[in-house]
Amino acid sequence: MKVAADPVIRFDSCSKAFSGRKVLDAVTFEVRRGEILFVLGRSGMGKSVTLKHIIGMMQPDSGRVQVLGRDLPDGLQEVRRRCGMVFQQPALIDSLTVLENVGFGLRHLPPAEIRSRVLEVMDRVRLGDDLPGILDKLPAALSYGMQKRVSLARTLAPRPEILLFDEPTTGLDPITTRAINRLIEELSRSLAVTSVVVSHDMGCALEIADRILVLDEGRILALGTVDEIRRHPSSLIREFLAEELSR
Amino acid sequence: MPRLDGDSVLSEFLHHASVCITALGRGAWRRRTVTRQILEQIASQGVGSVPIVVIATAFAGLVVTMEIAFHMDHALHTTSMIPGFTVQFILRELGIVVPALLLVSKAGATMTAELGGMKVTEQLEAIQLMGIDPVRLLVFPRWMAGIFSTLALTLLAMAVTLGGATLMAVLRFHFSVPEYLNTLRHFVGMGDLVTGAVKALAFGAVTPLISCAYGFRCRGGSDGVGQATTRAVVSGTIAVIVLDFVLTYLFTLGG
Repeated sequence: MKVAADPVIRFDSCSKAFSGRKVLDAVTFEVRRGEILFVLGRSGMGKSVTLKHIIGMMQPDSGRVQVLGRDLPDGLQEVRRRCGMVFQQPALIDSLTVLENVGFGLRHLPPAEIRSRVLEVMDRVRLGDDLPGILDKLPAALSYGMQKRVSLARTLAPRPEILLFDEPTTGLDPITTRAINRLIEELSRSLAVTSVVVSHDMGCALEIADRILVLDEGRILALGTVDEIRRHPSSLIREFLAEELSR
Repeated sequence: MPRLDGDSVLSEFLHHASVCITALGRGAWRRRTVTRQILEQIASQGVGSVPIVVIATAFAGLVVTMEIAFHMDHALHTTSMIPGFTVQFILRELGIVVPALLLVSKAGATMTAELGGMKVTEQLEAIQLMGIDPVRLLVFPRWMAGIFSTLALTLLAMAVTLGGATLMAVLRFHFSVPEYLNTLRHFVGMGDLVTGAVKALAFGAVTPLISCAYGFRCRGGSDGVGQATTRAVVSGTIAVIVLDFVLTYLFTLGG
């Protein structure tokens, strides 16, 4: 684990409300270069909203979001070019083949280079053995787990500096969930990217996170290393931990 | 600026309109990939709608002749003017509004469902995050295809409705085909064709944008897609009727 001290993502007193209900309430935190930060919390407590603020799909009602040294939304284009996001669902474009989907963010490159980059990232997400058979298939012809891997490959293809994962294992069976979680850790470490993972999975967070951020009612309940979170007195965190132990 | 979830359908519609008009002005349709997409959409929207347009407008032609004949006979005690009144009504109203409404309910509904499905499965966000404007990628080809398909189907609908009307006039009201067509020449002018073309252009330009805006604003799962599709069809239908009124009012002002 190689985590630099300089922050690449900075939330400064960010608040966001929908229909009068505060989803983020003066949230302040930083994500350091190269670390894997897990964002945990119950459903509807602002986890995905936090992620969407990082990529400029939402803007705070008040406060400031800074990513890679750029204030959003001013530096949005550059930030988006340097970030990749894996959605809850595979979000592959139905009408494009696997090759076209994975190469979608590389359109500025010559076709031969696109293909070579696609093959490289497909190998990284452990789909190398299925090549070239699946390259010309449409997403609907793949299993859900494979679609998730293709989605991850598409995100990796433009070589992002920050990877954002929005509940990446939703809807997957336990075995595929473990495989995807291992892949997240392996890719984050080997590519030396900063990763922010929104999840419900405390077990996975304890296993691979450098730090864990727990959100509740739009506020930060806890932010610390795995050991600090294990020792945290909050009843919600104890509940999360107890549930994990009972598995 | 990113499109925000709090935006209304109207602001989405206006955004799509401005992006599409800008793209058109910059000649975006000349790019090979865009041309291919436009042709695919024409095949889906236009060619795919030919059967329904032909069937519906053929029957509309039969019905309109019977209705006009009935009222003429009742009020004027003659049916000699059937061709003139029928053709004017077909070229200025029926042959334009019927295909537009059919396109709203068929092609428009398909567009909303497709884009709504992409929205709820986060495909639109994924496209946006890869630095591509989803409106330019997905809406522009549909818009161009919508304009072209509406114009082409309007021409087809006019021809088929006229065919149905002629058939009814010949079979039931004992006109001969040359006599019927000869009468048309006295009643149809360039103004009727211009009116029809302008209306078709307006319907073709507005209704795909309504369908796409509802697709982009879709929320929730399959239920949300269904609701968005219903609302798009209702709004598109109302838009056609209101636009028809406004354009007819303006054209009648100008004589």
